[in-house]
Amino acid sequence: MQASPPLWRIWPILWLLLVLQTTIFARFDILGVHVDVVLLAVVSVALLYGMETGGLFGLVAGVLTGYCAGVSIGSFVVSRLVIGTGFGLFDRRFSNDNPLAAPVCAVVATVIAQVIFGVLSPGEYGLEMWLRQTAISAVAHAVFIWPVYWVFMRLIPTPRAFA
Amino acid sequence: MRRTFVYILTLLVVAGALVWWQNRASQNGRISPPAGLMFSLLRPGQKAVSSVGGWFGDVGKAMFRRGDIISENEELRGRVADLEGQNLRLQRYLRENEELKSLLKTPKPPGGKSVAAQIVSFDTSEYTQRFFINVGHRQGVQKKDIVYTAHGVVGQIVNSDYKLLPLPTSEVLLLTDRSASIGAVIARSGATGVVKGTGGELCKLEYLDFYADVREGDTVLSSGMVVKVGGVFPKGLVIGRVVKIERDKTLSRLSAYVEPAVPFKSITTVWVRAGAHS
Repeated sequence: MQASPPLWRIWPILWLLLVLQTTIFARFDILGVHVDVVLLAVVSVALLYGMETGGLFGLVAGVLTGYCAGVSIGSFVVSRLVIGTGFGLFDRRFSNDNPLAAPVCAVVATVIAQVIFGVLSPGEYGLEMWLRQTAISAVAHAVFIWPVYWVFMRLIPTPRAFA
Repeated sequence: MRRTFVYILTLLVVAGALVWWQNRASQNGRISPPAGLMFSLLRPGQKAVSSVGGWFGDVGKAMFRRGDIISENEELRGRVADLEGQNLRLQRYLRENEELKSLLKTPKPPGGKSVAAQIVSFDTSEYTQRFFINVGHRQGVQKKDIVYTAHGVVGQIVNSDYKLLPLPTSEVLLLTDRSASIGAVIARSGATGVVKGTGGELCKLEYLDFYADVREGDTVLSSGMVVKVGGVFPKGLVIGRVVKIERDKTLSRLSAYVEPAVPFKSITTVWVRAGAHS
């Protein structure tokens, strides 16, 4: 009988990433764009631990990110929930066998999150600004997904059923 | 499949309830208890990370300046960097001390009471300009209370927490946010208009008379006039300085770009004029 992975560890990691997101990552930007490490965590958890864990993690991460953002909370909740459940439906072998799976999923998740935010938010953000933000965010997230994905892989071994 | 559907539906219902709760609280200028609890749980980590990050930043700057020096003695180079880091930290404390002293000397806007507050975190969206401070309803802070420093206007409170939450928290909408607006007047000529946030580093002074006397370098003050979401800023507070003028002869429109007087990226403490309009 195989031991279940210590999935409870995802919650303190989420807490730490939120602290970093609202302090260090809020002060530094890449061409005006902030790296969203919590979004990358949702992608990583979904790819590594499946739909149920990814959906719950996405829900909680979306609510907490929405509280920290102060605006359009619903869009954060919906986008993270969609990403957590959607990417969690992939077979574990998808990320196991494809080294580019994580960055590709990070880019797609960024586009999904930006589209949902653009649709659900009442703000007047021009298309040009939205396209610029989305493009730069996608590239940045494709790079920064690696350390986040690696942390989850190392700290919480994936269930053998997915292997 | 059915189990998956029920699971996702349950998550959606829970999420919807939490979002509804926070939105309802925001309409009353409050932060909901779950959000307040989250801020309380994050606060110790945010303080620790900010302190450690500042220390590493000081040491990093020292190492960068020494980066081109080739040294064979690792112990001596580390000691020099450590001493310079200590020196930079002391200089930062001196700057903070000067900032706090100038805050005490700042003339207070009329009404209410002034409450000093520290900035604890920033918003996580790149489309808004907001931050969170460590005072709330318990200190008398309410929605629409103005936030300022010795340099000038910072913004206004948009949400504050309930009294019963463990750590007070309030949300501040910055002057540069797209939804911010303040009635303004040019100090030199008396020309009036409305300063609006652009989402970037500058604000825009609009609704000026086409023949208004406005020049680059003019100081812009709050006029105390009621505008849209604003209207709670008393007269005479410094907003910023005109840096660029746009004159559209076709539409007979005059507008100007204003550089805020407050250096938003470097401030760590602010004043809140609590209860001035209650």
